[in-house]
Amino acid sequence: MGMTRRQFIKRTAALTAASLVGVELPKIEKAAQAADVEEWHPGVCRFCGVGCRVYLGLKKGKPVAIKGIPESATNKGYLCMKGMLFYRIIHHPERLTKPLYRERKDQPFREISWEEALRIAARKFAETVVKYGPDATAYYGSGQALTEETYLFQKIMRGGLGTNNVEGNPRLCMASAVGGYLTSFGADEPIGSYADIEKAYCFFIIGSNMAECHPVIFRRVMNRKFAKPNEVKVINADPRVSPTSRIADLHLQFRPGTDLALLNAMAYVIIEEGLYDQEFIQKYCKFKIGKPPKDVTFEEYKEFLKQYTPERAAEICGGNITPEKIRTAARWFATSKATMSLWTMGINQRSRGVWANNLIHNLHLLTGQLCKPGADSFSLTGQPNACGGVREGGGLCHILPAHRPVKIDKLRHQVEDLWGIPRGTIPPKPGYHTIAMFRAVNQGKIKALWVNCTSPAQSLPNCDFYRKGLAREDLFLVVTDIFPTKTTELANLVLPTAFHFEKTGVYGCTERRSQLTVKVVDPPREAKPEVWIVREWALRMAEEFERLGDRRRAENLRICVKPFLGKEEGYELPKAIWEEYTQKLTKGRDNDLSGATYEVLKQRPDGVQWPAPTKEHALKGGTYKKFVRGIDPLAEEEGRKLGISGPYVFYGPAHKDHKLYLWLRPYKGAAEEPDAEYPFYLSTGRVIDHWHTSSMTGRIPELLRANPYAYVEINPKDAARLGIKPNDMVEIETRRGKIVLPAKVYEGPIQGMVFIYWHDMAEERMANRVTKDAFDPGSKEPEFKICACRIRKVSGPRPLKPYVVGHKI
Amino acid sequence: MKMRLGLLAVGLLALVFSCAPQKTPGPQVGKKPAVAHPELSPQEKLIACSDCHRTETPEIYREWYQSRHGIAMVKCFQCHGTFETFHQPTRETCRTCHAKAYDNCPKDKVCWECHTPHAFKRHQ
Ligand code: SF4
Repeated sequence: MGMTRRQFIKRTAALTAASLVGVELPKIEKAAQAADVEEWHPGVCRFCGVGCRVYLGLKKGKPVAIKGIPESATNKGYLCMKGMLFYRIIHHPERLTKPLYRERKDQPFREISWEEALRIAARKFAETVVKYGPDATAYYGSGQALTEETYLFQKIMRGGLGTNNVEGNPRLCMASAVGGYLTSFGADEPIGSYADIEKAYCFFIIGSNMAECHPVIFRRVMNRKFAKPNEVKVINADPRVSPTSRIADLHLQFRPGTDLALLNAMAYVIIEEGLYDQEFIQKYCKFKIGKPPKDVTFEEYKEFLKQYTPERAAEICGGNITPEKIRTAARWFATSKATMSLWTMGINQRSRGVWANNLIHNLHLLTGQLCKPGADSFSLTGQPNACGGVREGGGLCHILPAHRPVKIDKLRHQVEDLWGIPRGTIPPKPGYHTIAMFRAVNQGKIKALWVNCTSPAQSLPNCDFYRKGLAREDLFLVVTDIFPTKTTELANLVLPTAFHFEKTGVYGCTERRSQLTVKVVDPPREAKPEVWIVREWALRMAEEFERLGDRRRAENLRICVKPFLGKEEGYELPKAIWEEYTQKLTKGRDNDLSGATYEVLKQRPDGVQWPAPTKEHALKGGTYKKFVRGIDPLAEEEGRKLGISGPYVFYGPAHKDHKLYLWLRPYKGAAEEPDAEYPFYLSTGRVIDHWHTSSMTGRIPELLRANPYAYVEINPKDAARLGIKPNDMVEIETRRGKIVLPAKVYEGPIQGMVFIYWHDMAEERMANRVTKDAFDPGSKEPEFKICACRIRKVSGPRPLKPYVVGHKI
Repeated sequence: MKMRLGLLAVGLLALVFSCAPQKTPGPQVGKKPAVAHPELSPQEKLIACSDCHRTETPEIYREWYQSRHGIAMVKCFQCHGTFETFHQPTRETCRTCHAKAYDNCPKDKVCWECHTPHAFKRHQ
């Protein structure tokens, strides 16, 4: 070609510039998508919790494109690269398409029929229950499963087998947010919506790299900031300067885990400078301390905060925090026309995650920055259906559908009655939470485990430890998924499932919005929707229990699946499940979705935000802001019932006094802080290009290329001290193990901290082999974000290969 | 340094190429671009486009980085495709995100005749 690379690039640049001045452009290829597409079908993105609406484009029945829906209330047409490209997964040649089985884990898998697979799964679970009791079985699900799937799985486990060993990966990402909402507001999930973004004047983004983890919502925040650059303030609080910091007016960079001191200090300034809203506090709030909670006065709260003067907090927080920065942040927060806080895993994945959530809520309660347009305390969800399926649908060990705690007799009996099974079938004791569940696997207490649509072998903290349990020969492990993963490698039975748009169901995103995606293509070969798999498994289990002489369980299982018998699996079956869940289980609860039938969801392109107790309300889109009279029908109704006047009614089921609680929560460090032996903080997170364990995004060439492997980010000062140069190979060692990664030297992480992406599946780079499995005592969410490590250079740059289980790169 | 430059160039290429429209990669892309990207080794293909273009075409990089696309992390491959599918974007590519603008703008012009390429200011 006779052109050097440099010349080529210069030439390309020149061509691009030429287009500016009307010089003829090089010939452009034929239109990429719209021209090729024959039909567009609406649905929701398969990945993060933003809930972007998409059109899937088909040509001759084959998915060939995706585009954003411009009228969408959520994404207004925008998509990030993951959303734009996920159609490539649908017909990917590496999809799992046949049930695979091996009796022993040291044997190779062999293909078997569905009938055989379902019989094996049914026999193993039934025999385990009869021999070891129901708590020797467990289900571990996902915030990516459809609501119908999570609901049916937990119904079978609880109502059929009689165990609360029902968990899901949202425990690893959202549990602390749930704990924070319940203890501060008495009700789970945000009060406001994304629509507040365009009405906010101050954004307090803490512990969240929104630019990469919630790109489309970040874009809305960015647009708001650019629309009113002087009026709108953005505060970004994070130990790491990230792409999110690029729109910040103020970056508060603190030592990992010290944000509890920072948040208390902001409250101190708000009170000291008289910036609080006395009327809001008096009317709606109470001050609380300890467990069991005790009432305290405003004066006692003030006294408590004296430990957190900005001067003292700046010392604790370290980094570039100064007392003046804390004061500025507090003033902007309190005095803006409307303040919206946004946070994700930096706050949640901590041994004091619930407290950190409480302290953010405290700032909103003190200042009355709540319930009015643009003001909200808004936690961002990681997965597309962590809120809908798992939090609302009963996918965690301590909650039944529609926010009913398992241990409350009345609510548990309600569920039993609604399902038509005898009272006493569902045990009152919550099951194992995630870490306890996998510890029980390690101890041999769980003998049969079903993992659906998630890969704990890679996503659990300290995962080597838990992989030992998953590899035990006496554990029968079923995995339902669309691709091979680190977890299918340890399974006995791998069942191929249908992917998005190959089945019908609902995702509920961050802002209480439920959106329906209808099946438009068939799953490949023998892959099946999970709802079909569960129903058929339950029916065969009933036969097994009969054979084993447990008539009661056989009968309960049959009752549980009876409403779904004979239904076609692509649409009718999930519809029947959604109907049961919404009409029977959510009716009268705070997440009332009974107005949001499939018919309504099909008519409502943007879906419905709960509460939506009637079809009329659902057809208008549901509730943009909870607790506000005139907007939220339940606020109206409950206010009337309870005789509460005024614009807001806090009817959250967890606070019988209908008050919001301001909590006195002291600063407490991480479970494992750096010391002489392990002097660095290690933190982990995501990149925009990859979705969680990258079993899907790793198979899309553009996304794999964009971030083919994890690397470790090191502050230049630390790198210089340790003689580490960019791309050198660096060993990260914690008390749990070692990994080796290329170094990226840049001013992202604060000095004394290193940061790793966790999507990489290659053994030598897999972040969770070294992270810590300490967890929050309240939410049981693990502290992925902080542990202690040491680092050392092991070699200069080395060529590396990306690795995805079963992917032919 | 030489190696680094080589790598950079590689990445650049990948970058330019990697911004293809949302289309299945490969043969159906159609006509070859006017200028072919120099060959890349498999390892080089794994470098993000921007890594090379940051130094090789700093003006373009800066324009993109400081634009809304840059801040919102719209990466090269979203508009230009990957190394294998590299192409100049078309109106259809932009439509993926900007359907309203697509409908409102003149049909006989490519988007960047009015909206500065890479910076994408509203109007030139
Ligand atoms: S922001 Fe989230 S929901 Fe939207 S396109 Fe990207 S991954 Fe999908």
